[in-house]
Amino acid sequence: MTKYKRGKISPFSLFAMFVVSRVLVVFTVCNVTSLGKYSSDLLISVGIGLALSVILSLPIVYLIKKNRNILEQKWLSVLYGLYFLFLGAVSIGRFSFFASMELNEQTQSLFLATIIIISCMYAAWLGIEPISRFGSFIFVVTIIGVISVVGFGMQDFSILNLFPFTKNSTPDIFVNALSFACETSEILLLLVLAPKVNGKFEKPFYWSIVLSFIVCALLFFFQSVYLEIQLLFPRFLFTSFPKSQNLMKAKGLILSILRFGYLQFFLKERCLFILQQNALKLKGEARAVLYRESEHFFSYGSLPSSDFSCVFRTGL
Amino acid sequence: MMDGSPFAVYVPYLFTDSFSTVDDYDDLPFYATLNRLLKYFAFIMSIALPGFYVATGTFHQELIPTSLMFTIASAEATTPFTLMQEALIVLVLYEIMREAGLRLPKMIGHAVSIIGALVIGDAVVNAGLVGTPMLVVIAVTAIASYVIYPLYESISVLRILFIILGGFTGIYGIVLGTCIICVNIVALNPYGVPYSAPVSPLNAKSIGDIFYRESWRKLAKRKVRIQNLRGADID
Repeated sequence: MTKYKRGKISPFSLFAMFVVSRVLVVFTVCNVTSLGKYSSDLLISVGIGLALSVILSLPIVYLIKKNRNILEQKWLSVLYGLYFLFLGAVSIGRFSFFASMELNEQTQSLFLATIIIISCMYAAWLGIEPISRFGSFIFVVTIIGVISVVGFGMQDFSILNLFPFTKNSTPDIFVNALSFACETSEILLLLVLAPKVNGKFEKPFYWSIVLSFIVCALLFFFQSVYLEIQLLFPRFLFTSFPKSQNLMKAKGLILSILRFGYLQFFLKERCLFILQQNALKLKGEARAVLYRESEHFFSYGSLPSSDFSCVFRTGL
Repeated sequence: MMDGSPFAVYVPYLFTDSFSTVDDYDDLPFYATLNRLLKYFAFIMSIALPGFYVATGTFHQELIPTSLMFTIASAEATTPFTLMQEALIVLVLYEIMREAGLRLPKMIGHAVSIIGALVIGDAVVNAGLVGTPMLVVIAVTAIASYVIYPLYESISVLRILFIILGGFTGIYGIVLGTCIICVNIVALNPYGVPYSAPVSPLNAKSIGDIFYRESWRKLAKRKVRIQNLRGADID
């Protein structure tokens, strides 16, 4: 048994965090780059996406195994730090817009974004260990959530809805596969978190990819077989679930349970913190000041991103 | 233990210890398990019920059964405040009465509590200041919070926080609040042992005495030591 080390994360926590992060992104994110309609061919896209994700992660895993983490270079740390800053801002902007427009129209997206940012600040300040433990806990909740969604909708099951099997063109299937593989940022998160894993990281990482794609495939199958709807694919997956009679009542509840995906915001924020520490080698008070400044950037960054989301949605 | 004091202090005190009582080990396992599950349920209810009620009543009415929604709507139609304001008013009133009951001499304290609960409660509803369902929710919450008395201080503060979150951001705020509380709980390591152990990090062998109470036969065979819990860095 691996001896416990303070400040490190267990391989299972890494696995759980990545599964939750990837699955919940697919639930709620607006796939602006995807094409076509909800149909059974999305299962093919998920399969190709899984293979693509594994292939894309191979060079990073190889580098980390050879102890050649590219983040050892200062300028690359800065670059990736900026990337996480942008990514976090876009994610929070998108979600706050999603929540305020699709679900909770009386709430201002700016207000929601602000409280999410404050929460992220606090969680990231506590460290990676609590976030990873929280991830393990949320993993169980997510699995229960997925099972509940599928279970509640059983009465709407109709195999006829599977046909015609392909509604999207072949290029669209490949674009969607690319979208599945690249929508989330677990490969880059691994880059930052791999040195923090107390044990081997390869197995949990690859299993997390496999399980998350299986869950996504299950949900798309559910979407196609249970619901006879012709929604355009680049829409939020879960907003269409309540169209099922049995899920209509539980719309808010299901969506809320699945919003434990706040975990991914915490993760990105913590990664940003680690990268900035790594790049600037600051300690003590200076580190705290730097951290606070990064939060300010983070919060400012989230504001225009929600406007971008508006543009995307209007375009759709 | 101290000479002359009947009390014993033990460390580390874990989160799940708040839900176990000495009586659990005197009762039969199935009854002790029922009691323990009730305590977990009461804990969740005492923190989140008012916030959840405010959130669903304000933003997510589709979650409330239609007949109940009509009852709530008719009760709220005559009140001048929003659900969040009502919840905060009733909760503050309750906390004042509780504090007054504690500070006054025992005999008068009981009288104040009874008069406060019955007379003031009835008066605010008759005056049309607060809806009856809100009063019921706060009363149930208040009683539930006494089931887990060791956590009362945290519960009373978190309850207010959840009402504010639910009133402004609906269930999303409540989920966010839950996330932050969870992260906060798992971040604590009193005396080198995770406060959330053995649930997170999970220690399957110890779960038998957390959510349910195993029989004495199984408990006697267990070789669980606090220093062997996953995440503990004490010898």
